[in-house]
Amino acid sequence: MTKTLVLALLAALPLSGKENARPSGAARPSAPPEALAVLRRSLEPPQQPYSAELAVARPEPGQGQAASRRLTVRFSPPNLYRREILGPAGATARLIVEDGRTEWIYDPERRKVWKGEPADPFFKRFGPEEEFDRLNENYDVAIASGEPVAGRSTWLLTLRSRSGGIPARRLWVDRRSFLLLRAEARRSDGTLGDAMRMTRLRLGAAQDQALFRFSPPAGSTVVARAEPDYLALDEAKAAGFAPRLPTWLPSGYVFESLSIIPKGRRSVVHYRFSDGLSVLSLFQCPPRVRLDLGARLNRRVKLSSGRGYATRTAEGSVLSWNSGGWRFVLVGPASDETLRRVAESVR
Amino acid sequence: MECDRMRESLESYAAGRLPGAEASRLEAHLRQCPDCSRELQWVRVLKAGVRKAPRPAMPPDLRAELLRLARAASLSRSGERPPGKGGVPWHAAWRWAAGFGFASAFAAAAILVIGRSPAAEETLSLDEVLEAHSSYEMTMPAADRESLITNLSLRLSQEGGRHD
Ligand SMILES: [Zn+2]
Repeated sequence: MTKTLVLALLAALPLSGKENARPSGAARPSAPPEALAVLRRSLEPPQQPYSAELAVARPEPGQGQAASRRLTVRFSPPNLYRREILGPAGATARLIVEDGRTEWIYDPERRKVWKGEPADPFFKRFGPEEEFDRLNENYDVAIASGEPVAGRSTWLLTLRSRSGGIPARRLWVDRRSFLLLRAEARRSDGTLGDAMRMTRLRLGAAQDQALFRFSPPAGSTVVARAEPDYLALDEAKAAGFAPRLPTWLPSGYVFESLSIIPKGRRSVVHYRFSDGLSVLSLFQCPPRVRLDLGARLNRRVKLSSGRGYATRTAEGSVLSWNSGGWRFVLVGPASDETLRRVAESVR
Repeated sequence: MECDRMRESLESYAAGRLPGAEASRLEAHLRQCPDCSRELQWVRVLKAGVRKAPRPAMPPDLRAELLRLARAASLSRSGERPPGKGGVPWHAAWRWAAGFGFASAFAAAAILVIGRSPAAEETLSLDEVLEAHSSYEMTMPAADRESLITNLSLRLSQEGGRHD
């Protein structure tokens, strides 16, 4: 339902480039439409059902070869998805069903089911429009003619940080349906991050509704995932927290919301900072919660409050440190030096 | 540990499904264990079906937000809790949930209390940190949802969690 609301919201907004965004029959077919209008259209939920085959690749830092996965996606408006992630031999390694209310993730090998709510931008403190404005404030969006993807002609959008960064994201958008056909993220050091590419797309093909229903198979284990939550600072204070927040953030980032991760009778606070495109996460752990970051956090970083430990993960750089009896973990697509500056500024 | 054993039967107890002898044993324990009593309250809150209500619209201006951030940061200096007393006191969380009229964090808490193994309860792992980060990234406007959900689903398998 909420996705429908987002759709309604976006549709209600004036789209200056809307007509231009349909190049067919235009007087100057080579002139690209307005970049922001195309980006905005690509964020709207698709109007037609489709099925697609994709490849996603996420390079693990320090390893040359990106781990690549193939998956199939089926979509039925307004908000039903079925994704099958294939293993190396072609069997389904994960089945992910969004049935309109619940997101089910099933691991057939371990016979394990994770049940949760899909992430919902509508419930954020910055709604989709505000995040979009922030993105527009912090990133320059350029448009060019893109190479065909899955046999369809595309517009290529390049999002570049206004604070002089590398092209943070490249998006190939279908010229006719505005579906995102290919995406590429760059890390702060310029290396390739997540990449996604459709290899086959069947647009408008009606989907069997039974595919969007899921019930845990007999004998499987069901694990409940935390509901997505987007709280304000005041709400954390009312709950008895004394928020410890950075007083310095990289250019363009602002506090968006927090959520509370219960740990027994204690709680970890997860603060989220957004620049409209990327996210910095800060976790504040009370003293009695054990922080098990494994053997990977092995790089020492000197901080004024003492020593920190860092590592790089596929999700971003991670820095952990202690201060005033609390433990902190910072995650984000930023350099070690940037994370160190944020950490030093936490008061 | 006795509390750990008792907590495993709280859900059945709250649902009225615990056999008489076990229920009596649990009640005896609850009378002398405030921690488990609180735990039972959590379970009951979940059973009562506390659901997420839409958040009041709040469009914060960028500058106002930064000011707020700075103010909060300076306030937290004076309001900091001494080490060893971290976390949300249960009564405070309850007041908060009741007072603000929505309890999504609360409901999430209760689900996790039931969903996670006791060992995982007091530990925050790197996988959990990265899962929380990725889940949030999915709410961003230009998120590559296909990559995020694929990688998140593969990472989930590495986490603990007990039978439901
Ligand atoms: Zn007890």
